[in-house]
This record gives sequence, structure tokens and C-alpha cells, in this order.
Amino acid sequence: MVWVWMGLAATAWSGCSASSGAYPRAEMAMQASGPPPAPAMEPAASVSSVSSVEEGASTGESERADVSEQPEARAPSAAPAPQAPGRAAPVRNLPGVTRATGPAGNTGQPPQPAQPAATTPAAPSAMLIYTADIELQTAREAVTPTIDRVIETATAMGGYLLRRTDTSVQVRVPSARFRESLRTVEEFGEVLHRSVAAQDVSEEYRDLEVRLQNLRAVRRRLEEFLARAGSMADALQVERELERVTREIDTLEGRLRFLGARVAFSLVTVNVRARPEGVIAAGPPIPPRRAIDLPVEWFRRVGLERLLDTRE
Amino acid sequence: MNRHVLPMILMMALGASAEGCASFHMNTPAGFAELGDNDDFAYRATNAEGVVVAVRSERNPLRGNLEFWAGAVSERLRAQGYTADGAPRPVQNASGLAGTQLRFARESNGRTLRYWVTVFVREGGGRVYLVEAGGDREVFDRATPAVERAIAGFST
Repeated sequence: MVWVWMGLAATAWSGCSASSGAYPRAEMAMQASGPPPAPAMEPAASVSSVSSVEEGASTGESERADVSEQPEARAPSAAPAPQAPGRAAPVRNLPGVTRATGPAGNTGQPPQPAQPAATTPAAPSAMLIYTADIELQTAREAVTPTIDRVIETATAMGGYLLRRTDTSVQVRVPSARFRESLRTVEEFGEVLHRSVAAQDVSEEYRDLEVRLQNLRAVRRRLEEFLARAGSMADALQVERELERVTREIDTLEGRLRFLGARVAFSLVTVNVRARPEGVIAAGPPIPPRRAIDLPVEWFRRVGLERLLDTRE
Repeated sequence: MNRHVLPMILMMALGASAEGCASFHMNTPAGFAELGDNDDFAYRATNAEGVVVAVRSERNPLRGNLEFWAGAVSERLRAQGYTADGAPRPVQNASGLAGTQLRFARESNGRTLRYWVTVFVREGGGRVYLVEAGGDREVFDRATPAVERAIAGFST
């Protein structure tokens, strides 16, 4: 019974905390009371670093680098990974979710998450969500075919269409081919504007992973407690807690899958503008055509004004 | 005394003759009412919806022919913002005089107005007649048959 209550207390505490750094303390308490040790954990980040991640997550942005106008110069790439450049690595415990290693051609150093080096564990590959906006100018009759070509390019690269209007299109392309897709699209017309941004969600992702592992460990222990429950009341209480933990696990897994999908596919928005036609160099306005005039009085009065003025 | 009276009588007779040459006949269309004298128009009538038919009978000091006056009127109206509604139409009045009908449209306060000018020039270039018709497009189109009949019945 003592195990059950201690376990529930640890579960409640762990479920509320996003801090992976706090987890070992809970585990130590469990070990002191006798339960079997939790599975080996990934090295945890410090409390301070985790809290900074939470702030970023709460605002929806962890770290964002805007490289307007010079995407090539600052287009981010991921850290050297064991995989081939541009290949995705599976995320532990989450089948189907992959960790992208950045756009193709990952030869440069990646932008590192804003964490002190001392508190950052051996960092996995950066989790970057890439977005690009390109504005093209083409001949008027080429606007629609250009949009068609953007869609064809995206699908040929393994991407898909997200949204289309008469003059714009949004597609997602595999992040591994992000830079290649931009180069291709920019050949479809005259580039008036382009911007590329990368949102670093590495810390949020790592934090979610740690929380997920903690919750899984808690769930295993709760299942053990349930097997050893001495009374019906204890069993019901443990089952309720087990249900809550399972719901939270589902939520975290969903968020991880979402981030994984965003990282795996980059968003490319292309606006196509028709080139102005028949533009004449600015100059003084052309004066109106000179009206003929004659030294004949009545001739100057011909018109609707006189005809329709029936007051006279 | 007699030497002075005779030339005066002759001049009065010539003046009356000239005035007779300036005369014309215009049938007031059905549904139209003739308006009083006007400095510009020798004849003018309007219907209840504001469609107006009028005749100018003017001197021709330049001795211009039909081509000249039809061209000059057309150019002046175009320069003032009138838009030609079709090509000039050759017409003939009831007394066999050849003329040219110019049809225009003009935007005014968001509405379209029609304006027809039919030019006749008397043989020898002595007189110019302008038979004018105009009004708001919708009501003018309804009155068109009456206007056309009036123009066709114009005689000098």
C-alpha cells in the first residue's frame, strides 16, 4: 500500500513536470522505497534550460531565423549526422516519426539551439521547420502554367499541394529536397522577393521525448502496482491514475508526430505576379486633342448643353 | 425721291427673298410640344421625358459644303468628349436635299445621353441646317421612331 501511494505521488509529480532534470530525484525516491529502478534515461537537460524551452514552446516559437533575401547564404543545415546528408533518422520509441537532418547538402554547421553548451547533452540532429516565400514575375499568360509547374515540381520531389489560388500556390516538399526545390522554382520566373526561415524545435522535441519516456516509465510502474493491488479500492485508484497517464502519453505522442511531420516537409509559398505590359516611360501628360474652332458663333454652341436646356 | 424709293423697295424685296430661302418645314413629332423662340434654334420641341428635337438654321459665312460642316461638327464634338455611335450616315430630306447624320453618345453624371446631328447645306453654300435630337439614352431609344420620322419630314 505504501508503494502504491508513493507511486501515485511520483506519478502525479512527474506528470505535471516537464523537467527531465527533476526526474532522477523522483527515481531516487522510488529506489529508496524499494521499487525496481526505472529504465535507463537519456541524459537530462538542466532545469534552467528546460524552462527556457517551455517559454519558447508556450509562444509557439522556439527559435526562428529569418534569412530574407539571402536564403542561400544563411539557409540552415543540420549537424553532421550519422546518416547520409538529408536522410531522416527514426525517433526512438515513436515509429513513423522521423528526425530530419536538414535540407539537402548538409555540409555546413547548423544553427545551434540557444542553450549553454554546459547544460546541453550530446545534441541529436537539429529539428528544423523550414518555410520559404518566393515572389515571381512572369508574363501574364504564364502565371497559371507557372503555378502548375510549381505543383508538378513539388509532387515529383515527393511533396504535395497544400493550397492554390489564381496567383499563388503553397506546397510542402521533403525537407531533404528543400533547397533543390527552391532553386528549381526560382527558374520559373523573375524572382522579385524571397525569404527563407527556419524554426528550431529541437528543444521542444527533446523535452517532449523526455516527458514521454518518464510517463511511460510511470505507466509501467502503475501497471505493476495494479498487479499487486491488495484491495479493490486500491486497484480502482491506480486504474484511474493509469488512465490519466495514458491520455497524457497519447497527447505527447501526437505533438511529437506533428512536429516530426513539420520537420520532414518544408513549406514553400510561391506568389506569381504578371509582368506589367505596355508600360510607357513616365513623361508629361499628353495634352487633349485640340478642338477645331471657327470664326462662326453658332458653331461653338453646337452640343447637348444648348439643345437640352429647355428653360430658355 | 423716286430715285431713292426704288432701290429701297428692291432691297426689301431681296431681303424677303433671302429670308424665304432660310425657311424650312418641320413636323412636330407625336407626343412632342413645340417650345418658344430661342437664340440658338429656329425650331425646338420636346416630349414629356425630355427628348428634344431642334433645328438650327444658320448663315454659312465660310461657304463650306456638306463635307466641311459635317466634318467640322464631328471633330468639335469628339474633342468635347462625345463618342461616335457608328459611322456618319448619308440622308436625304423630304425636299431631296442631301445631308449627313452624325450619331453620338456622351456620359454625363453616370448616365449615357444620345445626340444626333443631321447636317444639311443648301446648294451654293448659302445656309447650313442642323437638325439636332438628344436625350437620356433610355427615353431617347423609345422616342427614336418619332425622331426619325421628324427628321425624314424636314424640308427646306
